Amino acid sequence: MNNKKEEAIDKYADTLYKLAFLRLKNKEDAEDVVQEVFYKYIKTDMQFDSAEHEKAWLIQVTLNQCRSLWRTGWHKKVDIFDEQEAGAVFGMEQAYLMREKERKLFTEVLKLPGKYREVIHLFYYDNYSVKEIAMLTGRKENTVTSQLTRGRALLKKALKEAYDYEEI
Amino acid sequence: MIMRKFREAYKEALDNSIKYTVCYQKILDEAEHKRRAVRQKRKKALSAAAGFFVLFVCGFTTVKAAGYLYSVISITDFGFKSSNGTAMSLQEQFMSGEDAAGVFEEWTEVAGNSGKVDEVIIEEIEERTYCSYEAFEKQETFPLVIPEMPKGQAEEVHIWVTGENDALTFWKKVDDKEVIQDIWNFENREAHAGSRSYPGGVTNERSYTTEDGRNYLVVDSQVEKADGKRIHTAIAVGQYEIYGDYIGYTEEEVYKMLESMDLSPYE
Repeated sequence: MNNKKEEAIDKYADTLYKLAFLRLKNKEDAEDVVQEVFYKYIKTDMQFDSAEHEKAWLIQVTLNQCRSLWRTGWHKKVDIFDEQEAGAVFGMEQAYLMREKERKLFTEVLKLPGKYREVIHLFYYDNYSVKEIAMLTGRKENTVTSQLTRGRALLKKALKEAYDYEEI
Repeated sequence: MIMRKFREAYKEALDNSIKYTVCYQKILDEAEHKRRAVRQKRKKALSAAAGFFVLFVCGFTTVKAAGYLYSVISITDFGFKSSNGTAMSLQEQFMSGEDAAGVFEEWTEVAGNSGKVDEVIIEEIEERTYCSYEAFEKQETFPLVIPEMPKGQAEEVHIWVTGENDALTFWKKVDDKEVIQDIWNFENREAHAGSRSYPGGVTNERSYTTEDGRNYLVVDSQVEKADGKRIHTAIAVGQYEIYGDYIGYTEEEVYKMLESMDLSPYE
């Protein structure tokens, strides 16, 4: 493996893992997805125009890999997250140590339907614009906007604390 | 008052709760790559073992009052098919279970041409998951009758409830054996027709009548997998249809489990 690829793996591993975890809500599966994405990345001969292009490729492959897992049916069935299950997902100790507000916020995001969760994460965590999210997910801009709006509405309803959502 | 930016709060929450360090060895290791593929295949196998259910439903209007709703389940080469009185007139042209997409097109065409069904819906509805019977019981009202499975060392349970008590799937694994119960509630549906298919098709069709007079349709999966025999059962009770998949159990054990269930809550 060349140094450039090694650097990219170091740089994006955490980002891709967070995205996969948000989509799959399972540590082991998220880890499998990220390792598989990097396995493909190492094997590919693809030339990237820029660092942004490379990151976008990695995110797209991660999303596709998550979708492929999702289609197995198993994940369709386990796509629900209960606050009580936080302990199981994070580990009891970690769940306990997380500040109440953070835990609540994170739990409510995890409770969102998968498509909303994905766009909320790409918009707020990875700072992608609606146009970029549309490109990454293969959806129409209008669809992304509407999913973002619906996701935000659900979060506003669920979270007691008022946040500035920087609406578009 | 200045509100905190959601972006900041979300990033902080996520960064404080999830951290990942990559392991190069695992990425580059071909054996690990194969193991990942096997893990995903196993998950696919579970969904395949549970059968693939295609369901068509119509809204609830006046037909319920006419007492025209009870389901009829029959065996096909690939599993089971079912429909109620309203849907039955279309049954001749309905599914073999072989090709779900083809069936959907056919059904849509039939429904559209016949004028007997206003709308055909494949619904995408909410699902709720529970990892224990106790958690399920606290939150849900769906009647769930569970077979008494032989005890084992390691047990795992998942229960999924779909929509407003439209369907429930119960999955329990005891050691290397599994039971899946798919229960469909059609009390709010004017018409429905469904097909449950198993990979490779089914064979050895028979029926089993329990001591309390319940008559189950029983089939075996055509192809026996490495995890053993797969026996599938189906029964309609009241406005419910109950499908059971028993993986790794003998016929005797399956019949014993059927005997252990009192299905009166579904009547």
